[in-house]
Amino acid sequence: MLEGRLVGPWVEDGGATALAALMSLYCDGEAKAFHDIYASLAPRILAYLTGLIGDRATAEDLLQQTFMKLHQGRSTYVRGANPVPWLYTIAHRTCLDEIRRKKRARVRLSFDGNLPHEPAADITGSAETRSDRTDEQTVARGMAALATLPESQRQAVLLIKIHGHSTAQAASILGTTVGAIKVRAHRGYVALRRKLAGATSPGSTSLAGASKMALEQAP
Amino acid sequence: MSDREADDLRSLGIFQTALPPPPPSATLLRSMQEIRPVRTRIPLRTLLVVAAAACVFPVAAIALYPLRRDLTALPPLWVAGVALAWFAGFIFPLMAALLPTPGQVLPDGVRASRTAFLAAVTLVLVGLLFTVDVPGVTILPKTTWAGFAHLWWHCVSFSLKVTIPAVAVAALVLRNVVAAHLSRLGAAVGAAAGALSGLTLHGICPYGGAPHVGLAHGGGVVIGALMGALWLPLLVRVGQRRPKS
Repeated sequence: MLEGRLVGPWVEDGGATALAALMSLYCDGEAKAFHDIYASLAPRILAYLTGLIGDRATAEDLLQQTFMKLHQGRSTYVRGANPVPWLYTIAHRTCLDEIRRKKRARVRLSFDGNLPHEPAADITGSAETRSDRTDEQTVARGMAALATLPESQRQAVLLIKIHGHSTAQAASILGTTVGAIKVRAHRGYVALRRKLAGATSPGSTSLAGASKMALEQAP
Repeated sequence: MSDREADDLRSLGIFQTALPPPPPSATLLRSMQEIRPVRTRIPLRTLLVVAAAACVFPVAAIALYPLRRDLTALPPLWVAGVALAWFAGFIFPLMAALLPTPGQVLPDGVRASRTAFLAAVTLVLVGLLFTVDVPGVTILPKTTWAGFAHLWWHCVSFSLKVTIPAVAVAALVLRNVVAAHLSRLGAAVGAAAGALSGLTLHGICPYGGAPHVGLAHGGGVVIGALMGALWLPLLVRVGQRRPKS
Protein backbone atom coordinates (compact mmCIF):
# COMPACT_ATOMS: atom_id res chain seq x y z
CA MET A 1 0.00 0.00 0.00
CA LEU A 2 1.09 3.50 -0.63
CA GLU A 3 2.49 5.08 2.43
CA GLY A 4 1.46 8.63 3.12
CA ARG A 5 4.38 10.99 3.32
CA LEU A 6 4.02 14.60 4.25
CA VAL A 7 7.27 15.91 2.91
CA GLY A 8 9.12 15.06 -0.23
CA PRO A 9 8.51 14.66 -3.92
CA TRP A 10 5.79 12.04 -3.79
CA VAL A 11 4.24 12.51 -7.21
CA GLU A 12 6.26 9.74 -8.77
CA ASP A 13 4.64 7.88 -11.61
CA GLY A 14 4.36 4.69 -9.59
CA GLY A 15 2.34 6.38 -6.88
CA ALA A 16 0.07 8.11 -9.37
CA THR A 17 -0.59 4.87 -11.25
CA ALA A 18 -1.41 2.98 -8.07
CA LEU A 19 -3.73 5.75 -6.90
CA ALA A 20 -5.43 5.86 -10.30
CA ALA A 21 -6.04 2.10 -10.01
CA LEU A 22 -7.44 2.55 -6.49
CA MET A 23 -9.65 5.36 -7.68
CA SER A 24 -11.04 3.15 -10.44
CA LEU A 25 -11.85 0.44 -7.89
CA TYR A 26 -13.51 3.06 -5.70
CA CYS A 27 -15.66 4.18 -8.64
CA ASP A 28 -16.56 0.52 -9.20
CA GLY A 29 -18.07 0.50 -5.71
CA GLU A 30 -15.28 -0.94 -3.53
CA ALA A 31 -15.37 0.76 -0.17
CA LYS A 32 -11.95 -0.66 0.75
CA ALA A 33 -10.40 1.31 -2.09
CA PHE A 34 -11.77 4.49 -0.52
CA HIS A 35 -10.15 3.62 2.80
CA ASP A 36 -6.85 2.98 1.03
CA ILE A 37 -7.08 6.31 -0.78
CA TYR A 38 -7.92 8.01 2.49
CA ALA A 39 -4.97 6.40 4.24
CA SER A 40 -2.63 7.43 1.44
CA LEU A 41 -3.77 10.97 0.82
CA ALA A 42 -5.43 12.25 3.99
CA PRO A 43 -2.11 13.07 5.73
CA ARG A 44 -0.93 15.18 2.78
CA ILE A 45 -4.24 16.90 2.28
CA LEU A 46 -4.53 17.59 5.99
CA ALA A 47 -1.04 19.08 6.04
CA TYR A 48 -1.88 21.24 3.05
CA LEU A 49 -5.14 22.44 4.60
CA THR A 50 -3.46 23.11 7.93
CA GLY A 51 -0.85 25.18 6.13
CA LEU A 52 -3.52 27.13 4.30
CA ILE A 53 -5.94 27.76 7.15
CA GLY A 54 -3.46 27.70 10.03
CA ASP A 55 -5.75 25.81 12.37
CA ARG A 56 -5.63 22.08 12.81
CA ALA A 57 -9.24 21.63 13.99
CA THR A 58 -10.68 23.55 11.06
CA ALA A 59 -8.32 21.72 8.71
CA GLU A 60 -9.67 18.40 9.99
CA ASP A 61 -13.23 19.54 9.27
CA LEU A 62 -12.19 20.65 5.81
CA LEU A 63 -10.48 17.31 5.25
CA GLN A 64 -13.78 15.53 5.88
CA GLN A 65 -15.58 17.93 3.56
CA THR A 66 -12.94 17.36 0.89
CA PHE A 67 -13.37 13.60 0.98
CA MET A 68 -17.14 13.97 1.05
CA LYS A 69 -16.91 16.08 -2.11
CA LEU A 70 -14.63 13.44 -3.62
CA HIS A 71 -17.22 10.81 -2.79
CA GLN A 72 -20.10 12.82 -4.23
CA GLY A 73 -18.13 13.79 -7.32
CA ARG A 74 -16.47 10.45 -8.01
CA SER A 75 -18.55 10.03 -11.15
CA THR A 76 -16.63 12.96 -12.66
CA TYR A 77 -13.32 11.12 -12.31
CA VAL A 78 -11.60 10.24 -15.58
CA ARG A 79 -10.36 6.66 -15.45
CA GLY A 80 -6.59 6.33 -15.57
CA ALA A 81 -5.97 9.94 -14.54
CA ASN A 82 -3.89 10.94 -11.53
CA PRO A 83 -6.43 11.79 -8.80
CA VAL A 84 -3.96 13.66 -6.60
CA PRO A 85 -3.97 17.12 -8.27
CA TRP A 86 -7.76 16.84 -8.51
CA LEU A 87 -8.05 16.08 -4.80
CA TYR A 88 -5.75 18.99 -4.00
CA THR A 89 -7.95 21.23 -6.13
CA ILE A 90 -11.05 20.07 -4.26
CA ALA A 91 -9.28 20.70 -0.95
CA HIS A 92 -8.12 24.11 -2.13
CA ARG A 93 -11.61 25.13 -3.24
CA THR A 94 -13.12 23.83 -0.01
CA CYS A 95 -10.61 25.85 1.97
CA LEU A 96 -11.31 29.02 -0.03
CA ASP A 97 -15.04 28.55 0.58
CA GLU A 98 -14.34 28.25 4.31
CA ILE A 99 -12.19 31.38 4.32
CA ARG A 100 -14.93 33.31 2.48
CA ARG A 101 -17.54 31.94 4.89
CA LYS A 102 -15.44 33.05 7.87
CA LYS A 103 -15.04 36.51 6.38
CA ARG A 104 -18.80 36.78 5.97
CA ALA A 105 -19.55 35.36 9.43
CA ARG A 106 -20.74 37.76 12.10
CA VAL A 107 -18.67 38.15 15.23
CA ARG A 108 -20.58 38.47 18.49
CA LEU A 109 -19.23 41.32 20.59
CA SER A 110 -19.88 42.11 24.23
CA PHE A 111 -21.57 45.37 25.31
CA ASP A 112 -18.25 47.21 25.45
CA GLY A 113 -17.48 46.18 21.86
CA ASN A 114 -14.82 43.62 22.71
CA LEU A 115 -14.69 40.00 21.73
CA PRO A 116 -16.23 37.75 24.40
CA HIS A 117 -13.80 36.03 26.71
CA GLU A 118 -13.13 32.44 25.83
CA PRO A 119 -11.91 30.19 28.62
CA ALA A 120 -8.52 28.64 28.01
CA ALA A 121 -8.63 25.02 26.94
CA ASP A 122 -8.26 22.60 29.77
CA ILE A 123 -5.28 20.53 28.75
CA THR A 124 -5.36 17.13 30.31
CA GLY A 125 -4.36 13.78 29.04
CA SER A 126 -1.43 11.94 27.67
CA ALA A 127 2.06 12.43 28.86
CA GLU A 128 4.04 14.37 26.34
CA THR A 129 7.67 13.58 25.65
CA ARG A 130 10.16 16.37 25.30
CA SER A 131 10.81 15.63 21.64
CA ASP A 132 7.04 15.77 20.92
CA ARG A 133 6.92 19.20 22.50
CA THR A 134 9.92 20.34 20.49
CA ASP A 135 8.32 19.05 17.30
CA GLU A 136 5.11 20.86 18.10
CA GLN A 137 7.00 24.07 18.85
CA THR A 138 8.92 23.76 15.61
CA VAL A 139 5.76 23.12 13.63
CA ALA A 140 4.02 25.99 15.43
CA ARG A 141 6.91 28.33 14.57
CA GLY A 142 6.84 27.21 10.96
CA MET A 143 3.08 27.62 10.78
CA ALA A 144 3.30 31.08 12.32
CA ALA A 145 5.92 32.13 9.78
CA LEU A 146 3.89 30.63 6.98
CA ALA A 147 0.74 32.43 8.14
CA THR A 148 2.45 35.80 7.73
CA LEU A 149 3.01 35.23 4.01
CA PRO A 150 0.51 36.65 1.52
CA GLU A 151 -2.07 34.03 0.59
CA SER A 152 -0.85 33.54 -2.97
CA GLN A 153 2.75 33.00 -1.82
CA ARG A 154 1.65 30.70 0.99
CA GLN A 155 -0.26 28.50 -1.44
CA ALA A 156 2.67 28.34 -3.85
CA VAL A 157 5.22 27.54 -1.13
CA LEU A 158 2.98 24.85 0.34
CA LEU A 159 2.32 23.12 -2.96
CA ILE A 160 5.78 23.33 -4.52
CA LYS A 161 8.25 23.53 -1.67
CA ILE A 162 6.54 21.51 1.01
CA HIS A 163 4.35 19.06 -0.92
CA GLY A 164 6.69 18.53 -3.85
CA HIS A 165 4.25 19.33 -6.67
CA SER A 166 5.62 20.35 -10.03
CA THR A 167 5.05 23.97 -10.99
CA ALA A 168 2.64 22.82 -13.71
CA GLN A 169 0.55 20.84 -11.22
CA ALA A 170 0.57 23.66 -8.70
CA ALA A 171 -0.49 26.10 -11.41
CA SER A 172 -3.30 23.77 -12.37
CA ILE A 173 -4.49 23.43 -8.77
CA LEU A 174 -4.38 27.18 -8.12
CA GLY A 175 -5.70 28.15 -11.55
CA THR A 176 -2.80 30.30 -12.63
CA THR A 177 0.17 30.22 -14.97
CA VAL A 178 3.45 28.37 -14.45
CA GLY A 179 5.41 31.64 -14.62
CA ALA A 180 3.27 33.27 -11.93
CA ILE A 181 3.52 30.28 -9.63
CA LYS A 182 7.33 30.21 -9.92
CA VAL A 183 7.57 33.86 -8.96
CA ARG A 184 5.17 33.42 -6.02
CA ALA A 185 6.98 30.33 -4.76
CA HIS A 186 10.38 32.02 -4.92
CA ARG A 187 9.19 35.19 -3.21
CA GLY A 188 7.39 33.14 -0.58
CA TYR A 189 10.47 31.02 0.00
CA VAL A 190 12.72 34.05 0.44
CA ALA A 191 10.22 35.71 2.79
CA LEU A 192 9.75 32.53 4.80
CA ARG A 193 13.47 32.03 5.27
CA ARG A 194 13.85 35.63 6.36
CA LYS A 195 11.04 35.28 8.89
CA LEU A 196 12.36 32.01 10.26
CA ALA A 197 15.83 33.48 10.59
CA GLY A 198 14.38 36.46 12.47
CA ALA A 199 12.26 34.28 14.74
CA THR A 200 15.14 32.13 15.99
CA SER A 201 17.39 33.15 18.84
CA PRO A 202 21.13 33.03 18.12
CA GLY A 203 21.99 30.55 20.85
CA SER A 204 19.34 27.93 20.13
CA THR A 205 19.33 25.23 17.52
CA SER A 206 19.03 27.66 14.68
CA LEU A 207 16.50 27.00 11.98
CA ALA A 208 18.15 29.66 9.89
CA GLY A 209 21.50 28.06 10.58
CA ALA A 210 20.12 24.71 9.57
CA SER A 211 18.82 26.12 6.35
CA LYS A 212 22.10 27.93 5.72
CA MET A 213 24.04 24.72 6.32
CA ALA A 214 21.72 22.86 3.97
CA LEU A 215 22.32 25.48 1.34
CA GLU A 216 26.08 25.38 1.81
CA GLN A 217 26.20 21.58 1.72
CA ALA A 218 24.06 21.38 -1.39
CA PRO A 219 26.05 20.77 -4.57
CA MET B 1 13.25 28.20 -8.35
CA SER B 2 15.50 25.31 -7.59
CA ASP B 3 15.37 21.91 -5.95
CA ARG B 4 17.93 23.25 -3.52
CA GLU B 5 15.41 25.72 -2.15
CA ALA B 6 12.84 22.97 -1.71
CA ASP B 7 15.38 20.74 0.01
CA ASP B 8 16.39 23.66 2.16
CA LEU B 9 12.85 24.16 3.41
CA ARG B 10 12.34 20.47 3.92
CA SER B 11 15.60 20.27 5.86
CA LEU B 12 14.10 22.66 8.38
CA GLY B 13 11.52 20.03 9.18
CA ILE B 14 9.08 22.70 10.26
CA PHE B 15 6.11 21.16 8.55
CA GLN B 16 6.69 17.56 9.48
CA THR B 17 4.19 16.32 11.95
CA ALA B 18 3.71 12.94 13.52
CA LEU B 19 0.04 13.60 14.18
CA PRO B 20 -2.07 11.24 12.06
CA PRO B 21 -5.20 12.54 10.35
CA PRO B 22 -8.54 11.75 11.96
CA PRO B 23 -10.42 8.70 10.69
CA PRO B 24 -13.20 9.27 8.11
CA SER B 25 -16.24 10.95 9.64
CA ALA B 26 -19.40 9.02 10.51
CA THR B 27 -21.17 10.54 7.49
CA LEU B 28 -18.41 9.34 5.19
CA LEU B 29 -18.43 5.88 6.72
CA ARG B 30 -22.21 5.72 6.34
CA SER B 31 -21.82 6.69 2.68
CA MET B 32 -19.29 3.87 2.25
CA GLN B 33 -21.83 1.33 3.49
CA GLU B 34 -24.21 2.40 0.73
CA ILE B 35 -21.55 2.78 -1.96
CA ARG B 36 -22.55 1.81 -5.50
CA PRO B 37 -20.62 1.65 -8.74
CA VAL B 38 -20.77 4.85 -10.75
CA ARG B 39 -20.27 5.54 -14.42
CA THR B 40 -17.20 7.75 -14.66
CA ARG B 41 -16.79 10.75 -16.90
CA ILE B 42 -15.57 10.32 -20.45
CA PRO B 43 -14.32 13.77 -21.51
CA LEU B 44 -14.92 13.13 -25.21
CA ARG B 45 -18.56 12.38 -24.49
CA THR B 46 -18.81 15.63 -22.52
CA LEU B 47 -17.35 17.45 -25.51
CA LEU B 48 -19.87 15.89 -27.87
CA VAL B 49 -22.79 16.77 -25.58
CA VAL B 50 -21.77 20.43 -25.37
CA ALA B 51 -21.03 20.55 -29.11
CA ALA B 52 -24.48 19.10 -29.82
CA ALA B 53 -26.10 21.74 -27.59
CA ALA B 54 -24.20 24.46 -29.43
CA CYS B 55 -25.31 23.07 -32.81
CA VAL B 56 -29.06 23.16 -32.09
CA PHE B 57 -29.68 26.78 -33.11
CA PRO B 58 -27.27 26.85 -36.09
CA VAL B 59 -28.86 23.70 -37.54
CA ALA B 60 -32.32 25.22 -37.11
CA ALA B 61 -31.14 28.48 -38.69
CA ILE B 62 -29.65 26.69 -41.71
CA ALA B 63 -32.90 24.78 -42.14
CA LEU B 64 -35.04 27.92 -41.83
CA TYR B 65 -33.05 30.63 -43.59
CA PRO B 66 -31.76 30.64 -47.18
CA LEU B 67 -28.04 30.61 -47.92
CA ARG B 68 -26.40 33.97 -48.67
CA ARG B 69 -27.15 34.98 -52.23
CA ASP B 70 -23.53 35.79 -53.16
CA LEU B 71 -22.27 32.33 -52.09
CA THR B 72 -21.93 30.99 -55.62
CA ALA B 73 -20.20 34.16 -56.82
CA LEU B 74 -17.51 34.10 -54.11
CA PRO B 75 -14.13 32.36 -54.64
CA PRO B 76 -14.68 28.74 -53.46
CA LEU B 77 -11.20 28.53 -51.96
CA TRP B 78 -11.85 31.65 -49.86
CA VAL B 79 -15.25 30.31 -48.74
CA ALA B 80 -13.68 27.01 -47.69
CA GLY B 81 -10.63 28.64 -46.05
CA VAL B 82 -12.68 31.05 -43.95
CA ALA B 83 -15.15 28.30 -43.03
CA LEU B 84 -12.19 26.22 -41.85
CA ALA B 85 -10.95 29.13 -39.72
CA TRP B 86 -14.39 29.50 -38.08
CA PHE B 87 -14.58 25.74 -37.53
CA ALA B 88 -11.11 25.71 -35.94
CA GLY B 89 -12.27 28.58 -33.73
CA PHE B 90 -15.14 26.35 -32.63
CA ILE B 91 -13.39 23.06 -32.06
CA PHE B 92 -10.06 24.10 -30.47
CA PRO B 93 -11.44 26.26 -27.64
CA LEU B 94 -14.10 23.62 -26.95
CA MET B 95 -11.44 20.92 -26.71
CA ALA B 96 -9.31 23.13 -24.45
CA ALA B 97 -12.30 23.82 -22.20
CA LEU B 98 -13.57 20.26 -21.82
CA LEU B 99 -10.74 17.80 -22.48
CA PRO B 100 -8.18 17.46 -19.69
CA THR B 101 -4.51 17.12 -20.56
CA PRO B 102 -3.45 13.44 -20.59
CA GLY B 103 -3.28 11.95 -17.11
CA GLN B 104 -5.32 14.73 -15.49
CA VAL B 105 -8.91 14.85 -14.29
CA LEU B 106 -9.52 18.56 -14.77
CA PRO B 107 -9.28 20.65 -17.92
CA ASP B 108 -6.48 23.22 -17.93
CA GLY B 109 -8.03 26.65 -17.40
CA VAL B 110 -4.97 28.58 -18.50
CA ARG B 111 -4.80 26.67 -21.76
CA ALA B 112 -8.54 27.20 -22.26
CA SER B 113 -8.39 30.95 -21.72
CA ARG B 114 -5.38 31.32 -24.00
CA THR B 115 -7.13 29.34 -26.73
CA ALA B 116 -10.27 31.46 -26.33
CA PHE B 117 -8.26 34.67 -26.56
CA LEU B 118 -6.36 33.45 -29.61
CA ALA B 119 -9.58 32.35 -31.33
CA ALA B 120 -11.33 35.65 -30.63
CA VAL B 121 -8.46 37.83 -31.86
CA THR B 122 -7.79 35.66 -34.92
CA LEU B 123 -11.43 35.54 -36.01
CA VAL B 124 -11.96 39.30 -35.58
CA LEU B 125 -8.82 39.90 -37.66
CA VAL B 126 -9.88 37.36 -40.28
CA GLY B 127 -13.19 39.22 -40.60
CA LEU B 128 -11.56 42.64 -40.77
CA LEU B 129 -8.68 41.78 -43.07
CA PHE B 130 -9.76 38.90 -45.26
CA THR B 131 -13.42 39.57 -46.08
CA VAL B 132 -14.23 39.30 -49.78
CA ASP B 133 -17.34 40.89 -51.30
CA VAL B 134 -18.84 40.52 -54.76
CA PRO B 135 -19.68 44.02 -56.04
CA GLY B 136 -23.32 44.31 -56.94
CA VAL B 137 -24.24 40.98 -55.38
CA THR B 138 -23.12 41.20 -51.74
CA ILE B 139 -25.36 43.48 -49.67
CA LEU B 140 -23.30 46.02 -47.74
CA PRO B 141 -24.67 47.55 -44.54
CA LYS B 142 -25.59 51.24 -44.54
CA THR B 143 -22.66 53.47 -43.80
CA THR B 144 -24.52 55.21 -40.96
CA TRP B 145 -23.94 54.30 -37.32
CA ALA B 146 -27.58 53.36 -36.87
CA GLY B 147 -27.53 51.04 -39.86
CA PHE B 148 -24.29 49.43 -38.77
CA ALA B 149 -25.45 49.03 -35.16
CA HIS B 150 -28.76 47.48 -36.18
CA LEU B 151 -27.10 44.75 -38.23
CA TRP B 152 -24.33 44.38 -35.63
CA TRP B 153 -26.90 43.57 -32.96
CA HIS B 154 -28.77 41.26 -35.35
CA CYS B 155 -25.68 39.06 -35.83
CA VAL B 156 -24.44 39.36 -32.24
CA SER B 157 -27.84 38.27 -30.91
CA PHE B 158 -27.60 35.28 -33.25
CA SER B 159 -24.29 34.46 -31.56
CA LEU B 160 -25.87 34.73 -28.12
CA LYS B 161 -28.57 32.24 -29.13
CA VAL B 162 -25.79 29.75 -29.84
CA THR B 163 -23.79 30.65 -26.72
CA ILE B 164 -26.57 30.39 -24.13
CA PRO B 165 -27.43 26.68 -24.61
CA ALA B 166 -23.76 25.76 -25.00
CA VAL B 167 -22.75 27.44 -21.73
CA ALA B 168 -25.82 26.09 -19.92
CA VAL B 169 -25.07 22.51 -20.96
CA ALA B 170 -21.36 22.98 -20.18
CA ALA B 171 -22.35 24.12 -16.68
CA LEU B 172 -24.52 21.04 -16.34
CA VAL B 173 -21.73 18.64 -17.27
CA LEU B 174 -19.09 20.49 -15.24
CA ARG B 175 -21.16 21.13 -12.12
CA ASN B 176 -19.58 18.38 -10.03
CA VAL B 177 -16.11 18.40 -11.54
CA VAL B 178 -14.89 21.08 -9.07
CA ALA B 179 -12.71 22.69 -11.71
CA ALA B 180 -10.61 25.52 -10.35
CA HIS B 181 -11.02 28.16 -13.01
CA LEU B 182 -14.54 28.10 -14.32
CA SER B 183 -14.38 31.63 -15.75
CA ARG B 184 -11.56 30.61 -18.05
CA LEU B 185 -13.34 27.43 -19.09
CA GLY B 186 -16.52 29.45 -19.63
CA ALA B 187 -14.64 31.91 -21.83
CA ALA B 188 -13.44 29.05 -24.01
CA VAL B 189 -16.91 27.49 -24.29
CA GLY B 190 -18.41 30.91 -25.10
CA ALA B 191 -15.74 31.67 -27.69
CA ALA B 192 -16.31 28.26 -29.28
CA ALA B 193 -20.05 28.92 -29.49
CA GLY B 194 -19.38 32.37 -30.94
CA ALA B 195 -17.14 30.84 -33.58
CA LEU B 196 -19.82 28.29 -34.45
CA SER B 197 -22.31 31.11 -34.92
CA GLY B 198 -19.69 32.85 -37.10
CA LEU B 199 -19.42 29.71 -39.19
CA THR B 200 -23.18 29.61 -39.61
CA LEU B 201 -23.37 33.30 -40.46
CA HIS B 202 -20.58 32.77 -43.00
CA GLY B 203 -23.10 30.63 -44.85
CA ILE B 204 -26.37 32.46 -44.29
CA CYS B 205 -25.75 36.14 -43.44
CA PRO B 206 -26.55 38.14 -46.57
CA TYR B 207 -24.52 41.13 -45.41
CA GLY B 208 -20.86 41.58 -46.22
CA GLY B 209 -18.25 44.26 -45.67
CA ALA B 210 -15.17 43.88 -43.50
CA PRO B 211 -16.46 46.02 -40.57
CA HIS B 212 -19.68 43.99 -40.35
CA VAL B 213 -17.99 40.59 -40.59
CA GLY B 214 -15.08 41.54 -38.31
CA LEU B 215 -17.03 43.36 -35.62
CA ALA B 216 -20.40 41.58 -35.73
CA HIS B 217 -19.48 37.99 -36.64
CA GLY B 218 -16.02 38.20 -35.00
CA GLY B 219 -17.47 40.32 -32.20
CA GLY B 220 -19.85 37.44 -31.50
CA VAL B 221 -16.81 35.38 -30.51
CA VAL B 222 -15.57 38.10 -28.16
CA ILE B 223 -18.99 38.63 -26.60
CA GLY B 224 -19.56 34.86 -26.39
CA ALA B 225 -16.25 34.51 -24.50
CA LEU B 226 -17.16 37.30 -22.10
CA MET B 227 -20.64 35.91 -21.50
CA GLY B 228 -19.26 32.41 -20.99
CA ALA B 229 -16.70 33.68 -18.48
CA LEU B 230 -19.48 35.42 -16.58
CA TRP B 231 -22.22 32.81 -16.75
CA LEU B 232 -20.46 29.48 -16.38
CA PRO B 233 -19.28 30.00 -12.76
CA LEU B 234 -22.73 31.30 -11.79
CA LEU B 235 -24.58 28.43 -13.43
CA VAL B 236 -22.19 25.84 -11.98
CA ARG B 237 -22.67 27.29 -8.50
CA VAL B 238 -26.45 27.10 -8.91
CA GLY B 239 -26.31 23.49 -10.12
CA GLN B 240 -23.83 22.19 -7.55
CA ARG B 241 -24.94 19.80 -4.87
CA ARG B 242 -24.17 20.90 -1.35
CA PRO B 243 -21.95 18.46 0.54
CA LYS B 244 -23.61 16.81 3.51
CA SER B 245 -21.78 17.85 6.63
